[in-house]
This record gives sequence, C-alpha cells and structure tokens, in this order.
Amino acid sequence: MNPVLELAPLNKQFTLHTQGGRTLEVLQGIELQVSAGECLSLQSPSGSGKSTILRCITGHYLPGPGSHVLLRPRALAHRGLDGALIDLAQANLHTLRLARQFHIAYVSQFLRVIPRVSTLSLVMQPMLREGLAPDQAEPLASSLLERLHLPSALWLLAPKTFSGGEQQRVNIAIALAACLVRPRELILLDEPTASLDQANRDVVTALLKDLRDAGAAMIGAFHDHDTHERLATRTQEVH
Amino acid sequence: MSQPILRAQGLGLRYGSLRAVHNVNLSLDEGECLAIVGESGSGKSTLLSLLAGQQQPHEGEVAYCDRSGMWLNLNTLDERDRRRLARTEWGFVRQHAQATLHPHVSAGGHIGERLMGLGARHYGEIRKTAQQWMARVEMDPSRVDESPSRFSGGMQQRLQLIANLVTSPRLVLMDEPTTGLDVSVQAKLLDLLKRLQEELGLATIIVTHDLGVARLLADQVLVMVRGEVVERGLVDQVFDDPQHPYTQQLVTSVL
Amino acid sequence: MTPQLPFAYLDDQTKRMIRRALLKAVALPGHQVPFASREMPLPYGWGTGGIQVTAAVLGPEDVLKVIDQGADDTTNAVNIRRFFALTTGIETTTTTAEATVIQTRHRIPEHPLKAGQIMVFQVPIPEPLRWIEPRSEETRRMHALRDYGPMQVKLYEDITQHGTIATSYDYPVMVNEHTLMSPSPIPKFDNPKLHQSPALMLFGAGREKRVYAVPPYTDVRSLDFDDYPFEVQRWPQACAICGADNHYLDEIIVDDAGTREMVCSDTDACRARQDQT
Repeated sequence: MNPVLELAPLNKQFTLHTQGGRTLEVLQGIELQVSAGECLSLQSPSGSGKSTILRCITGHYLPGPGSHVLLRPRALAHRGLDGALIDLAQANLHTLRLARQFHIAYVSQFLRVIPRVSTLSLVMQPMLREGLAPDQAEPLASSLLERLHLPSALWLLAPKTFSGGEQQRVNIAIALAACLVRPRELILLDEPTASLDQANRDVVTALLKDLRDAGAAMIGAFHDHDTHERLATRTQEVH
Repeated sequence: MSQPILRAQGLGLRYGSLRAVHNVNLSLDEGECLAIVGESGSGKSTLLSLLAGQQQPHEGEVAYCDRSGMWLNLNTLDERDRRRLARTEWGFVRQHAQATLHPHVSAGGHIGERLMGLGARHYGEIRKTAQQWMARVEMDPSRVDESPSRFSGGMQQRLQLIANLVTSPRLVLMDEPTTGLDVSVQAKLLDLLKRLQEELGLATIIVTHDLGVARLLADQVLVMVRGEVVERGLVDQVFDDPQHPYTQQLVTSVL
Repeated sequence: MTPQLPFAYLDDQTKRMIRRALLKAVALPGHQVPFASREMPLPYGWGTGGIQVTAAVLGPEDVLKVIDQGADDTTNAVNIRRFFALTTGIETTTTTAEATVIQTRHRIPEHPLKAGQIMVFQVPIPEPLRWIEPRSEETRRMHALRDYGPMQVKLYEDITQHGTIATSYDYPVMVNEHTLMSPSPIPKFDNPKLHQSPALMLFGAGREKRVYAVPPYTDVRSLDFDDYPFEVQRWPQACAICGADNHYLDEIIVDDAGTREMVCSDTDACRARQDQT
C-alpha cells in the first residue's frame, strides 16, 4: 500500500544569524514512511529531534535543502488538495495551508488559543469550518469533551485558567475536532499525553487508537512508554 | 474557503529615487489573514495602499478575485468599479478612527452609510441593523444615536470596523488597527478581530509593527525592511524558525 | 438718452455660449454645466445667473414675468422686469398663464405651468453636496460616480437629531433617478411642481458660473426614507385675503400693533383667486 507520508529524506539545520551565523545540523538524511492504519513511534535519545521532524512535516520548521516530504492526500471535491502526490518541502504557502487545513491533524504539547473564547466554542470552530451547522457541532464537541473527561462545568469557560492536564485535553480536543467530522489522512502527535495522569492518558490513547484503526496514518513522539505501547504499530530510531 | 483572493507580483513604488516598495510578491487565500510586519519606514503602509488600489504601482500588478470569481487587475480597473468594490467587497480600517469618523454623524449614520450609498431607504431598518452590529462587537446599542466623539478610542475603532463590515466584505485591510490603544483595550479588540475573521470568513491584511498582533491574528506573515520583503511564510514558521537575519533579530527581541 | 444695447443686453457671442451650455444642461438633466458668466449691471447675489439665462432665451415674441419670493411687485422683481423691458421692448406680465418665460427667485407659481413655458430660477449655490463636502473636486467625483450616500446620511442624521428631515427649502432632489440636484432655495412645498412638469426648468448661478436644467416631463423625486416620506408644508390657516388653503403662505405683520396674518406668497395667484370669488 502506498505510504501516506514519506520523508525521502529530511534534512534540517538552523543558521543562527544572531550568533554570528553559527549552523546547527539537527537532522540529516532522515528517511521514513507511514501508511494508513499505522502508528509510527519515533524514538531518539535526545529530546529535540522527534519534535523537529514533526514540525518539518507541516512546514512549521522549514525543511532543509535536499528534503522531500511526500504527502499522498485524499482528493477532496472543491477544496483541499487534489489527490496527487506532493512534496511539502517544495510547496508554496497556499498548498501548505491546504495540507494543514484539510489533510493533516497536529497535536502539540502546548495550548495556544485566543484568550477569551470558551472551551466549547474552541472545539466547535474546526467542526464549523468543516461545514457543520452550530446545532450539529455543539453536541459533537460536547461528546468529545465528555469522552476526554473534561467536566462540563468547564466547557463555557476559557481554558486559560485550567490545570496543565485540563489544558492538554482541550488542546487534543481542538486538534482532533475536525477529524470527527471528516478523517484526516495524517495525524502527528507531539507528546500528546505529557502532563496527563494515568486515567486521562488512557482516555486519550483510546481516542487516538480509534482514529488509527479508522485508517489514519500516525507519527508520534511518545516520551511516555505506556502511550507508546498502546498506540505504536512500528518504531523507528532517529538521531 | 480555500481559493486565492488577492495576488501581487513584482510590486514596486518609487518616490523619486527612493524605493518605497520593491519587488513584492504575495498571495492571499479567502479567509486567510496576512500580517505585514516591519518598522516605520519599512514601506508596509505603502504596500497596503497599493494592495487596496489606492495608489498605482510603478512596477508589477495587483489582482483581486471578486465575488463572481473574476480576476481583476487593480491597475487597470475603472475608478467607478474600484469605488464600488471598495464599498461592497473590501473594507479599510485606519489607525486613527477620528480620520474617518465625522463628529456630526451618529454611530448609526456611520454604520448605515455604506448601506445608504447602495440604496437602503428605510430609516428604522438601517438604525436597527446598526444596533445589531454594535451589539455584535459589544458596543451598547442604545448609543446608536450618539456622536462618535463621545466614544472611547477602542469604541471608535470598533465603530470604524463595523461601518466596513455591514456590506459583508470579503477582504478587509487594516493599518495598525490597535496601535495607540491601551493594552487591555488592544487585547479585547484583537480578540474581536480574530472572532469576526473566523465568523465572517474574512480575508484580512493587517499592517503592524507589533509582532504579538501578527502572532495572534495572522496565518501568513510578510516581514519588510526598507521596502523589500525579507521573509514570507506561515506564521508559526516565521516566528519559530525564522530564516532571515532581520527576522531572527526581530523575533528574539520580543519581550 | 438710452444707450444702444444689444437685444437683452448680452451680445450674440455670449448668448450663443450660454445657449450651448443650456443645451448641454437639457441633455443631461440635473447636471451642472460651467459657463463663462459675464459681468452684469448688478452685483453677484442679486440674480445675475438667472438674468443671463433669461437674456439668452428671450425672443421678440416672448412675454416675460419676473417674481421674487412669489411677488411681482418687490423691488428686485420690478427692476429686473424693467431691465428686460428696456433692453428688449418685449411685453411683460404679472399673470402666470400669459407668460412664456418666468424668471423667479425662491418660488414656483401656484398656477400650473404648461408646455411651451420656460421657468428660469436664480440659484445661489448650485451644488447640492456643498454643505456635506466642501471640495469641488470631490463633489464632481461624487456626481460622476453617483456616490450620493453622504446626502442620504445627512437626512438620516436630521431624523436622528430632530425626529424629522429638517430641510424646508432647497430640498435635494434626484433628477431622472440619476443626478442629485439642488432645486434652488424654493420651499419644499414647491418641489412636487418640478416632477413631470410640462414646462422647461432652467437654473442659473452667476457667481458660481453654472447652469443646469430639468427638461419637460422629467422625473424629479425629493429624497426621503420609506418610513419618513417627503411631506410638503401645511398651514392650519387659509390665506387671509383670498381664502386659498392650498397655496404657500407667508406670515406678514399688518399693523403697528404687530398683528400677524397669513397670506399667499404668490401675489398673482392670490389676486386671481380673489377675482373668481
């Protein structure tokens, strides 16, 4: 089966002009593939390499020269990408935006949202963008928050004052909300269960497992062994 | 909601021998927010006026895709058509609301002006529409008959904003919309802008010297130095993996 | 000894120039046409525009009526009528129905006009947008692009401030649903007389050097709102002299005690009604 994502290869260096032009080679010649229904767990002794790989895929970090980040998206009528294989490392901004908006879901470690919007609204927004009406999005968003064991008392509050674990669950809900309306081909996970206790970790990994089994291709950086055990179908060492 | 709406190629403008804007390329999608960031004198406001068709470039061109899907070259557009677009499909918000708000015209008159220019002729409905918009941006609708000179700076900016939004524009250009306002007022206005952008599916171009504004609102960022674009990318890339020395300096100097 | 003057004071070249401007004005109803306003034997502000237009259109067979605020017998009306009588030798009249050319300041006669008659209005400020936009470059652009929103906003503000549209004279109109026009400082009471009139309406502004026109049978609509429709003035009284309840009335003080009476502003119409009853 054709891989949904292939790094053939990925290079990354940082040039620090504010430090006299010093260059840091962070990734060199990284190659990997992931297909639908797989969860590839990235293992590395150092902390930063895994995150950097994930960020380079979406263009959050610019892939270095010689990189090829090959995405095979599902064709969508009237929007998104058209189903042909594309190299995100060479893509223009418009294409990158479409890839992020319609084909790739990204769960990061940090919740970054506009300050005064309620949790429920934040989770509904990606669903509304998918075309759901508000009276459809609200129950779906509510059930997602329930599934993540976020108390309903919190739903109408902005997440700024929540605990770390609560914020992370809101983060996950927002990142995956659109997938519940229309699945994404590729889901990237950057320490999704950091700051979660055991019970909440279970809830999150169960959700992710469902998405994987429904056909998403996943790449994850899992510091937590338990999460790795539950989700990974393959492992790859990266330096 | 993913089609391009505005494109600029090789855009340039000179004031005598001074190149105010040089070789600027950009592309903006429907619903996308572009921030043009730079210090004063970088050419960002000039670029904005070129993108709004308010000035003719010396080089290059700006093209806009209208509601019917037709691409229009702003350089060759008839003044009549440009004005019509400016009143219906575009909005323009200036830094100082006082420049656009008349003290002798009430809030309702300002909000209703575009509608009246398009032939709206029911006083009661115009006033009610104005009140609905005021409520939407958390202004007190009972103040619809008041002069804007009685409003605070933040309220005046909201008024300027909704006066532009009544005709459901697709593209709103803003020149330093929050500069000069108190920090807490700025924060509220930025929230509002983000929310409205999302709710109304607006494409926006925001000129700002404030990186925080760009980070909060923008999908795409252009960094300008002395009339040229030194970096152009998606907002998280420009902030977290800046390539150009100027951008790196700019980003690391944010408190 | 009366000096030798051309017919109606102006030389042929000038008349030709004014007539060309008037033809253009008639072809573009409501549109202000610039013309090379001449020095006239009376100062600006006294009707030089109207006088030049009248001088340009008068022929030897014409019968001229001149009114000022509706009256044939005010100083200005009398002087202008005498001026033309002297320089043309044509017949003059105070009866509206008999006139072929009627020059007026600030009123349209009550008696309905008929085809073949020409009304010449004296206009101080021809630009209806003047008080909203002082720059003439901008007002010209607004007319060219039919950008009349600000005028409607002004009326909106009137209603907001006063509960009603406050303008009572020189009330702005749309001509042919195309051009915004100032009907000159006639009371709004007279605005409906402009709509689909059989007569030709010519407007002359001498100081501002503009002429404009409304050809016969042209739509002229006073600006308003659907829920605040245009209304003419009404009085509870009738004319104290002739009893008319549908004429425009002036308030005059009739004795040293300060007694006030409402009487017709149109002296000819008042007399005609008296003759009937």
